Amino acid sequence: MPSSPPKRNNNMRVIVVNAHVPFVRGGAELLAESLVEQLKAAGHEAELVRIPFVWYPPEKILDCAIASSLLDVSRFAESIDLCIALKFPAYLVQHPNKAVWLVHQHRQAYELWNTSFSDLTTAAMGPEVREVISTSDTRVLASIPKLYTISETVTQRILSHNNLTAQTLYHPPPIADHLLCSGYEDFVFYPSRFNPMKRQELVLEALTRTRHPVRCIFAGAADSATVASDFMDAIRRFGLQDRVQWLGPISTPVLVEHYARTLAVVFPPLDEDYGYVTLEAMLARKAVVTVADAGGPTEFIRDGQEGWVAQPTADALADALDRVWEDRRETRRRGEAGFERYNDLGISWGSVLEALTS
Amino acid sequence: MNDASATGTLDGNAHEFTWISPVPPAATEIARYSENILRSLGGRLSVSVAAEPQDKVRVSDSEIAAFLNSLLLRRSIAICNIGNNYPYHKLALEVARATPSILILHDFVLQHLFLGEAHLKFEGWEAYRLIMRRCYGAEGEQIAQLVVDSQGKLLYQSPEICKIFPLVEDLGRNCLLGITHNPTLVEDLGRRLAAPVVYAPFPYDPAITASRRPSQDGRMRLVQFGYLGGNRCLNEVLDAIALHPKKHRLKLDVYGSVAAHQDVASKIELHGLASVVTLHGHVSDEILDQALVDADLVINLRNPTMGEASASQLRAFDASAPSVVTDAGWYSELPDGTVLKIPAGEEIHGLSGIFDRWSERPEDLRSVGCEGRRYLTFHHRSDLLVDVLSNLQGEIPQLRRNLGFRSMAFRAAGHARRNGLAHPGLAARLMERVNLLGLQW
Repeated sequence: MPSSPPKRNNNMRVIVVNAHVPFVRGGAELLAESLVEQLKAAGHEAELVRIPFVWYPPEKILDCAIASSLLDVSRFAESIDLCIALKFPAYLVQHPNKAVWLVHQHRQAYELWNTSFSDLTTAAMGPEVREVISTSDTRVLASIPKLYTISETVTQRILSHNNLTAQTLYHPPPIADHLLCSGYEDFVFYPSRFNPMKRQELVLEALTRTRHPVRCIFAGAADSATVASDFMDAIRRFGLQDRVQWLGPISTPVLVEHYARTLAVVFPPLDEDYGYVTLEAMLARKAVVTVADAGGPTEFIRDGQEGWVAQPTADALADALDRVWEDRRETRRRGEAGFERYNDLGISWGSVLEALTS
Repeated sequence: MNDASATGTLDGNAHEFTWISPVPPAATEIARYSENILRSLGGRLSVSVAAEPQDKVRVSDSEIAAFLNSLLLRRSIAICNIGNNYPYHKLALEVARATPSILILHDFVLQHLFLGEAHLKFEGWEAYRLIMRRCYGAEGEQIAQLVVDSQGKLLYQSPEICKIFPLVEDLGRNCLLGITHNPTLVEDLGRRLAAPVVYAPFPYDPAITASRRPSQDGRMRLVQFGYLGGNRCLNEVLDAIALHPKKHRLKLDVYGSVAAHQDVASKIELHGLASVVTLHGHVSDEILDQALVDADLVINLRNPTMGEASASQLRAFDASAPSVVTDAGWYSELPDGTVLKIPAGEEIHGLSGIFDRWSERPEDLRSVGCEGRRYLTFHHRSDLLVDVLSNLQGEIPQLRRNLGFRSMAFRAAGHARRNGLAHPGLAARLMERVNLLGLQW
């Protein structure tokens, strides 16, 4: 049956293809769902297709990659006009009109290689799998005219690792329309998944070194029971039971409420891809305390303007938290500046969809 | 639009290698080979040496795990020397199976290696049967039952079995690169390993300086040496001597290990050859070198050949010793005039003819010995292999890439086969995909 030519812009049949680890829900999953919602709202037929992804042992990555590569998603009963792929190995699927809006590559093969965050480094077939990932990424992504990323951080990575040029498309966080400011109370807020790369323990260490009794509320689910228990142990070890609270996973209303009430948001991850937390804080008119190697957040927060960008050490972070705590007026000013900057950047779904569906 | 031919920019750190082999004083030519090549490598490659343990017949699982872990921690790439004598290659075999490695295949047919493993490591023959099945399916399993019985008795082995079922395929899964010293095997090995294979001449820099001594009794001095298993034709040599009308004008000195030693000793006695044949066992290099230099004929027959390039033969060349080989495999590629050749299966007749020839014109054989040494000097310089090994440094990323993509395709094919999804076009389909993803074969 001959395929009809793909429609352009209006009323397209679009699939969004994402690699997914079951039971893990983070920014990438929220982004994928948001994209599908926005496509539908713009008048397209859209569907999210999740490809299960197993990454350990490393040989399983090869299996997932070839499986994805064998998938032809150009037609299911009727033609699919556009395929938008978000992550490795989802962007290996076959489709004649494929756009990639890159959330991140398989980072363990790139910037996390040779660090404790990459299990590829210490696996027997690790180097071989790494070579495959790099080669296939370069080969496949180079052949896609519509190559976009979610942030300058990811754009720079793909340029550095694969010598490929991509365009950055910022987008609003999923709860953008709900965020507001209701005051500046006596706590800083850190909402995020719990894992070593988010560096919640660095914040705890910083809290032990502040001059002021800075209080911090953490929220979010831990990636594993071990991470959770380690964090609770750290709170006890540092004697911060009176100043630290961990809410665990929270609902959107509770999240919005805490953004609305907090004095400032603290968010010092390691090389974050994008960082909804940063934008959510800006929309809630709250200053952000982040660190120089945080990646995505530093694209939006400038030290002295929308917040503090400290060196990634407990002492430097403690100093920043003290400044947040002692100069409330300045903290509020930077929060307002963040809100203004967000609006000035023109971050919208409209520009994202226009690029992806062009 | 980005350049589809662009390559990524992964880090280009220098690589470290671990050479796994027997080392002196292990009584195998591969030990001398390793000593020689490692010395020749000098600083051209960062190499550490892991000697095959000689104080035990098997390596424990915990020792293997510890060794593999050390390789990982040092990010070291293994260069595994693989031959047929299991005690000398047991660690290399384990490493080659467990982790991406470079293989130096001293033998093409590895039947004896895996028979040795089954006997010495697993103390049973089931392991051999399983490997034959893994490599060759139901047919391999049937052949295994012809080769050895359930009690481990070797029933039958033939050149045909060795040629068709070499078992080298068992080492393909993690093979980054195969290196062979037999140019006739490059294509076949590459196909069986499904890995890139390169040829480099067996490295052997002449070193023997001993001077030839005249015979004290005028007898023709025959020498056999090395690990004398069933394919070394020792029985045929004894028969040739026993049947020769002037057998008491012959003198055979045998150096090294003799498989089925008792059977050989009985045969010597049976044929009344006690004054003709001497089994010396292992001797020092100096004694063996002198024996080779003094020899009127070195007997280096192989039936069947295991595909090896013969270090023993090169040592005979070094000694300017006239030698006789089986006209098969690597030996058949030796230029005429550098060795005497006997067709497989005609050992007794062939040797008898050579004994007569020596008796009439010993200078003919002497000239063969001289030609052999000349050939060695030009064609087996160790720098030829050193160049291949030194180039590994720059080739590792491509070799890793290649192995990664091959693994991808083979794993997918294996999954499909196990789940009843294999079909005639599957291999082509998978290769099409991996080629598109970046395999450069």
